[in-house]
Amino acid sequence: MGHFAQLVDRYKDKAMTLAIRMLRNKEDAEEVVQDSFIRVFKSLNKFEGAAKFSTWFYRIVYNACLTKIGRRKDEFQRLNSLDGDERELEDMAGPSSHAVLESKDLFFFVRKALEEMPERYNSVLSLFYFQELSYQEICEVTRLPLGTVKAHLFRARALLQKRLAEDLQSEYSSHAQNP
Amino acid sequence: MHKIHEESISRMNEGMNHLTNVHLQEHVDRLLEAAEAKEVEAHLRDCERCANMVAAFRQLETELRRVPLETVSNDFTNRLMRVIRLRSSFGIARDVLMNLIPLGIVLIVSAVLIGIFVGPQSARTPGKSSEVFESLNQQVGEAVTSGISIMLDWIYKAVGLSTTIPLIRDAVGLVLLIILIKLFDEFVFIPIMRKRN
Repeated sequence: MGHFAQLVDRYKDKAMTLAIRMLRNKEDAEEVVQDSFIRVFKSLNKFEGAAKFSTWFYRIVYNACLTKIGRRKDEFQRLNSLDGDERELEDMAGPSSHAVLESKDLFFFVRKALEEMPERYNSVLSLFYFQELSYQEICEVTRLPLGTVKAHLFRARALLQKRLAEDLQSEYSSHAQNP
Repeated sequence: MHKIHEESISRMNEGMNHLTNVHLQEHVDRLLEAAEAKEVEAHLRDCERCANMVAAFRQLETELRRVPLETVSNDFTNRLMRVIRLRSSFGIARDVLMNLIPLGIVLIVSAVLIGIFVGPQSARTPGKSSEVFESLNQQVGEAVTSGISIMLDWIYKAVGLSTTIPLIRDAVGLVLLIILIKLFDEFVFIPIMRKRN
């Protein structure tokens, strides 16, 4: 039990980050993380050393989030309505956004933009940057082909950059109007 | 070479002189092989647009890595461990119950059979078929009682118990029953469940 508590302490925040990015609700995310740890506890003896523990564990969290999302049909529809953004991806990571990015502390805006990202992009972003998984490990967790993972990650970052540029520009405009 | 990279290089050859964003992003993510990464580095030294793009990608990466992890409630671990302990206790109780059910069935069937074939005449003589159905409860009850009594007698004889004091006989019977359950669990039920799983 003591060892398991250490395991929980080690992974709880990373799991919570993935769950919040996918579910956007702290209570739901915490419930999913708790259920995932219980599932891990029950099936630890089934865990085969062939996979990394982290990959196996994040797959459990990821699937639990997908199940939760599946239950929230309204949420699903809302996410799908964001698909239109993909059509504008081609040139969104242009130098103009870079110029804007250079000039400001972005922390607040990055977090806000992350919160508004579609779930499928947010999950790969989270797995790559916060759970620090490789592309191959993300494929194992999400069961998506490598090409899809790469595409999702590219689109996610491009969309993030576009949103950041828009947010910062509107921030500048409001500052310019009300100095 | 990756299809996108071929396109990227062909765009360069066509005089567009820029690598694709996908290609540049893969360079930032260190997905390119060493030789290809060198080519991209060389291109970046001469191309301001692509160098700016890579700088933007790297800055976004830096900013993303600066975002702190989300945190669970302070008492999360304690709460979780309590839930796990509770569920484990329920699990043990459920396992014991699950073990008792088949053992109980085996005991009752054995008791009925022993009662019918070895027990007193009243339990063994079914009489006419109509009477059997009318007094089925009584017949089975007598068979079970006499069967259990006979089984316990066999067990007492096997372990050499000669006391006739009811309290001691009952206590020993209980202990023997628990040992029997444990043996059944260990050598019959668990191996069967393992095979099924």
